[in-house]
Amino acid sequence: MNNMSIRFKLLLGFMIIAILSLTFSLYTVWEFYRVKVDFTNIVDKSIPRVQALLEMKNSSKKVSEMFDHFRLMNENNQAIPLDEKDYLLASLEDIDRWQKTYEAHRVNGNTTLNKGKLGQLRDAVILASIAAFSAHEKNSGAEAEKEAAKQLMSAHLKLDDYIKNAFAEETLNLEKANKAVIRTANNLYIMLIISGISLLVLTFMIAVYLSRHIANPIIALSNFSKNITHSNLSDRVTVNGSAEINQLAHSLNNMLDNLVRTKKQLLQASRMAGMSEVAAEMLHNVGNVLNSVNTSIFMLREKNELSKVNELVRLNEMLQSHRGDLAEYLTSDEHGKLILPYLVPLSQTMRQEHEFSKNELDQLIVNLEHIHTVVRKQQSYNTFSGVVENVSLSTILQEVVDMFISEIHEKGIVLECKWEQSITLETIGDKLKQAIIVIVDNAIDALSDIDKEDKRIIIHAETVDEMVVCDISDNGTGIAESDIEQVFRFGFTKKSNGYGFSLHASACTIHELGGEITIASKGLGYGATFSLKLPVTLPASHQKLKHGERLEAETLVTNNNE
Amino acid sequence: MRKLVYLLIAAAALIAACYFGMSYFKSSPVMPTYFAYNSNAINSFKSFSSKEVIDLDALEKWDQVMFELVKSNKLGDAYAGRVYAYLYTAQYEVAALSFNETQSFSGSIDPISAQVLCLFFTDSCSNLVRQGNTDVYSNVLANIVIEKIKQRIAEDKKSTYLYPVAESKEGWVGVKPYFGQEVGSWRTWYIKSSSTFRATPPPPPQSPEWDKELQDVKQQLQAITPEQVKSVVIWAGGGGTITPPGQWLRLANQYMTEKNVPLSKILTVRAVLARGIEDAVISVFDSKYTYLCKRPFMRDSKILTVMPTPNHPSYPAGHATISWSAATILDFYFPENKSEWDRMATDASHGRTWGGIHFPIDSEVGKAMGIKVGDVVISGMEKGHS
Repeated sequence: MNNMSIRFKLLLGFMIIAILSLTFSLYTVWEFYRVKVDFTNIVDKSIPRVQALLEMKNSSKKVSEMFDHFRLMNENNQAIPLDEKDYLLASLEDIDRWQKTYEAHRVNGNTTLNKGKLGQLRDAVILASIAAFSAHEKNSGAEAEKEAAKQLMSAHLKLDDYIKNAFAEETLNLEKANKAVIRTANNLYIMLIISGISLLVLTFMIAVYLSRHIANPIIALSNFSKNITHSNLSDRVTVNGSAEINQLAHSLNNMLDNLVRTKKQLLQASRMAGMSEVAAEMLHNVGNVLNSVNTSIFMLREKNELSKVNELVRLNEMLQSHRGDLAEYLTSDEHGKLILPYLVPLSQTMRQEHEFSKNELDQLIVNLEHIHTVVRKQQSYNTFSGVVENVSLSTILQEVVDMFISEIHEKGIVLECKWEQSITLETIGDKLKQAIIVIVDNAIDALSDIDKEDKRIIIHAETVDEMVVCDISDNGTGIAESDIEQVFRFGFTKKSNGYGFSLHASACTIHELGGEITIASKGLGYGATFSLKLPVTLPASHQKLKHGERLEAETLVTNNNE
Repeated sequence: MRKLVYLLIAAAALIAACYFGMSYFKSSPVMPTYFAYNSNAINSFKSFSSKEVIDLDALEKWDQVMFELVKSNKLGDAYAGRVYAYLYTAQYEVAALSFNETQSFSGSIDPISAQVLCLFFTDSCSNLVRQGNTDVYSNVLANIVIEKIKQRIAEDKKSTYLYPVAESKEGWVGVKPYFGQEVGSWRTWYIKSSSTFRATPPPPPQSPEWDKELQDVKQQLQAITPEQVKSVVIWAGGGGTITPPGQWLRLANQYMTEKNVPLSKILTVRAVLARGIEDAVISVFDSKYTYLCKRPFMRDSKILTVMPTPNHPSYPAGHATISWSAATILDFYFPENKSEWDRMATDASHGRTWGGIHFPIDSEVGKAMGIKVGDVVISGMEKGHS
């Protein structure tokens, strides 16, 4: 049941409501129909029948009274007016008509009274009335008139009797019909209430069920997905819902697994990229020095090959062979006389050779020391983690300048240092230094390949409104307007030997330290200015750094995009 | 599955469009009106609508009111028939105007019914206007129709005159005021004029034929059976009853209700029958007061009739003319019940002789006149006029 599809759950829920509603509706319609039939029966059948009986009774009574009136008039010797007979006939016609109305509304099985009986009684009254009137008109005599009146009275009483019985039956029928209508109406009333409440309860139950089995798991999934962050990928969702929701949860978990794997790979890749960047930087720095070392060694070897040391060996051999007559040999021998004058230039040459070798070896030592320094420095850059402390910006800038000073001089660059000695800020010194190294190195590179007399790098730093601002400007190659926005993008480089890592990493670092980095350039050939803005006090959003934690990637990316 | 649903919806839409399209182009049925109305009158109620509906219950309600008024005011057949003709015509006109405009019987016949009856029963008017529901739509319709009715009554009144009655020993002698002395001059509904339908002249007053007729009456009166007495009583139709025109209208109404005849036909038959009967009444009174023939009791004072003899000339018989015009019209509309209509018309006609108030010749001539009037009405219907 739990694993049933949402579609079927919804369908089933609504089908149950629909079927029950339909059943209740049908039952209600049926009950309503019964009430209607009963009521219509009363209105259309019973009431006209009762009315017909009443009218017959009245008309019959009217006829009877009319004859009493005639007799009175007769006794007083008054003539019966002509229109009295018209009224008599009209009343008799009424009796006939109401009898027909009664018959028209008679329902078989509703009465035990003989069907044709009322007609016969009606006829008897009509005929007895006519006979009585005609007896009077004909002056048939008192006896005959009395007899006719008696007949009429008898007919009238019989009709009256029948009508009484019919009335009794009608009253009973009406009572029954009335009770039936009330009973059915009550049933309908109760049924409507029960069905209404049942439907309400059922709908509520189904709604609760659906919300528990459909809505709640979805809400749980939604809440879970809200909590997924860069640093929180370890949780897994456990939802017990329908097939689709279970599938969704499973997919979400799979996605998270993939994300964790990808994150690891990404970290690995970025570490590798960092490592290769470090290696490239180091090789670049070391490579320059190695050139110089190579030159020194080559020149030393060349000097060595051209050395006058062999001449000295040959002189020694000549002197050894004339060890006995050395004085004579030196003074009188043709060759010997040349030795002493030759020693003066030889010793001078040997001295020069020595001086040259010494100088070259000194340079070699300096260069090797430089290599050692580069490697050592690189080792120090590689330490990513660091502690937040109050550091002096001027110290950091000085160290960076020291690191590059020989290269700057070598390339004929003028460095202007304009910073306040008192600038301090709360940050991770090593990271900031690393970022500045990259920017200064970049400035040096921008001036390396151009043929320009006034090569200049200006480093300027000051504190403005609780922010440390540090501008590093050069008048080198500059940056095209179209490239400005991409300078800090990972992988962007314009250098033939560049990789596009370092400036990106520096920007990330500055953002990580709660600052921002911007670049300005008027275009190619007009140099560039990198501006760093760092808070004097680490902002609240970067307090994590104090605990040795790194900021989340999301924060960095967002800042980066800003 | 989704395609199938779309397909079904498209098919349903197409069928609905075809249906409405066809009904749009199909000419709407029209109920022809008796009076001619100008477009201003028609337009005056177009802007309104009504939640009321003209139905059988409304017709029955006003029938009851009308019959009770006729009975309580003791109207004779000629005057009762006139009320019936005007009321049924007015009701039909309202229904037809509404139907032709809305293709439904929306509105209420209560205001028009009350207004028409008010014209004839002024004393009961305040009570009449209280009966029933109305709205602006029905009131405007009623005003349009009542204007036509009033106009007709006014025109009728102008041309109405009393037929001259020359009292002579040989002719009919009634009690003043005579009943229906002016009826023959009333405006007819279908026939051109009452005089054109005048009965053939009766035998001269001293003719032996009348003696023979009198003998017939006496014999029939002598030999009257209880069944015939009953029939005479039922068809007596004197004061205090709904009179023979009312009896025929009631019979027709009962028949149409039982047979579930459509309302449009019920309205038509009622109006046509009421007007046809009234034309028969006008014709027969024209003949009565033209020929001024004696009643049987005037030829033999010993005759004791079953019902009182009406206070108008004998020749021809009103019952026969009325009943046969009614039967002829009903035969046309409901031929399946022809034998019954004819039997009832025969009963109504013969009853007058059995009861001793008419000569057989009165009924025979009356029958012929009634059929003639009925035929004119039918031929009008066959030509498509209301």
